[in-house]
Amino acid sequence: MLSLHNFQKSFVKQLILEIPKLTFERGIHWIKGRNGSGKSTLFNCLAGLSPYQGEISLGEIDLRKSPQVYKLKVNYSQSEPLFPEFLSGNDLIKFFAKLKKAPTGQAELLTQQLSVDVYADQACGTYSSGMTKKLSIVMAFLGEPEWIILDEPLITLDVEAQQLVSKMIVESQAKGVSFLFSTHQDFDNSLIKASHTYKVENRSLIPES
Amino acid sequence: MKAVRKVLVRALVKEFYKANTGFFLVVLGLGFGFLKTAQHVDLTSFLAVKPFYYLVVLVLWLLYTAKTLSFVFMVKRLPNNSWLSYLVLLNPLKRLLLVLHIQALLFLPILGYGFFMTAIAIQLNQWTSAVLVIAGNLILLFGATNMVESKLISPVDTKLQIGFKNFTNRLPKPFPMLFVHHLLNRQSILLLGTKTASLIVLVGSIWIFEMEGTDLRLLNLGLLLSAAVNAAFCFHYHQYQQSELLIYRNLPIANNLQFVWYGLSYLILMLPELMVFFGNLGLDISTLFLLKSALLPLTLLLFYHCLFYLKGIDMENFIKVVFFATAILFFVILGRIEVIFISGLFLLLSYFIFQKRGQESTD
Repeated sequence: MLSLHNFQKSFVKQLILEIPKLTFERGIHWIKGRNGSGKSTLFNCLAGLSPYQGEISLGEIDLRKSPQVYKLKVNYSQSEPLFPEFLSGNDLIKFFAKLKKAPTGQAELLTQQLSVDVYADQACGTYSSGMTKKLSIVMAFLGEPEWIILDEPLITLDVEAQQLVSKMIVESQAKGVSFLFSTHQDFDNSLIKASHTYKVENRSLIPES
Repeated sequence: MKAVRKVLVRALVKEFYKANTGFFLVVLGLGFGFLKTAQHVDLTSFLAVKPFYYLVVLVLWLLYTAKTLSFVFMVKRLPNNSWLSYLVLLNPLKRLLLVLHIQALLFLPILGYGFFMTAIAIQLNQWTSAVLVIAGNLILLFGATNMVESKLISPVDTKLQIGFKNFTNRLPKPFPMLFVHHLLNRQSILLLGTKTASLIVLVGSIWIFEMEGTDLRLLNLGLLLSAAVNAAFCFHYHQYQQSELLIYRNLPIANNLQFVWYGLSYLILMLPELMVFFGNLGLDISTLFLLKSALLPLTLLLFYHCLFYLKGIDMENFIKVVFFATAILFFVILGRIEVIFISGLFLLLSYFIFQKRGQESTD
């Protein structure tokens, strides 16, 4: 389980989020919230991209004390990913696959599933936002993570890709992977079947069910 | 018009001076720290009498013009600045005057020095020289204005132009090379300008040493100033980490390995200086001395890089640290302190900061 304890996130002196205690049990968790409510900020902290106050831990593994072990088990896809524009999708996938200790053949399978293989040899700087998003999602599934955090996983994707991503989430969940994902728009929960929903409101994360 | 002017000043002029604070600090430090006012007057008087040598000044001004143009073009290419294309809606004459005003603000340093040179030439009754300086400044100003105006209103493709950069893209792309590739692809004028300034400083120190012949401290001072010039890269590296390399923070990479990677990045960046340093002095001076000296700019750059892991370090504070560190080390080196101790100290400090704050990341 993924836990936050005395979690606070501020920019300069402005408090953005404050979560005294929260535990995400295994499953699929859907975080809702309006633009600028702090969803991406929370995810950036959970993925180890942004500094924070308090504690974030995966079971007994504290993000601050054991970042390597934690990051091997928690993967992330950003809402609006940016990659070094002169690297090809394949360069990035191979690099991330190696460091995330992906099983042999996994990268090829994922790139085929999302049709990233069609353009993976081109430089990222030439990709459309949808192509970049799909690459980012492939990278988030690499390795053997216990948790995958997906920030707005369906935006900029066409309907076909949205259904594929939803299917990947459901299949991975069946294999024991837990998910945290966010949307600011209503979406058809029958696709992903999130077991828990939360709302980011008034600088806090409030469980809805 | 006032509202448009205000927005352009903020988006272009203020950002230009902010992005180049380090550059101006080094230029001012070198130009007015080593040369006193009387020496500037002597120099410009000589140029007024021998106007042929204005060509040297003109080349420097051309480089500066390229720097301003490169900055404006880079700003225009960013997706969040696509609104600049709406300037096409302004009356063409008003737009041209507005861009002239903006370009004149970007040109303030050379216009200021040009005014000083003109005044000296007039004082010496060297009217041809005065006309040459004024004409040179105006041609550059109007030429740049024309190019900027045309660029601002044209549509621009924000995507990478792969064909244009095919050669550099063939270089290997391990992590320590990513920032170098970024500079080659997106900040080539910054790279060229910084390397030119850094090499001028270094070659200058080698020349003075070769004329003087014995004082090895001169070489270390050259390397120290060269590191100060290259410190501009640390700020850009930090920005790059916050954008295109942000997701790399989700990777399970050991702290020590990351530290080595950043060290290698700066080693690659400093290769031109190191090649000039070893190439010019390798036969005359012991390799051990050269190796010890070469560590100085590398450890300093690593230290400057690690400064950004500390809380509250922004560009302004960063420039202050670089300036004071350079000023203090200047006298420390003159005081005959072994340069290996200075390098060791800064390497330890960098390692300590990175171990403490490297994984913490910054916003």
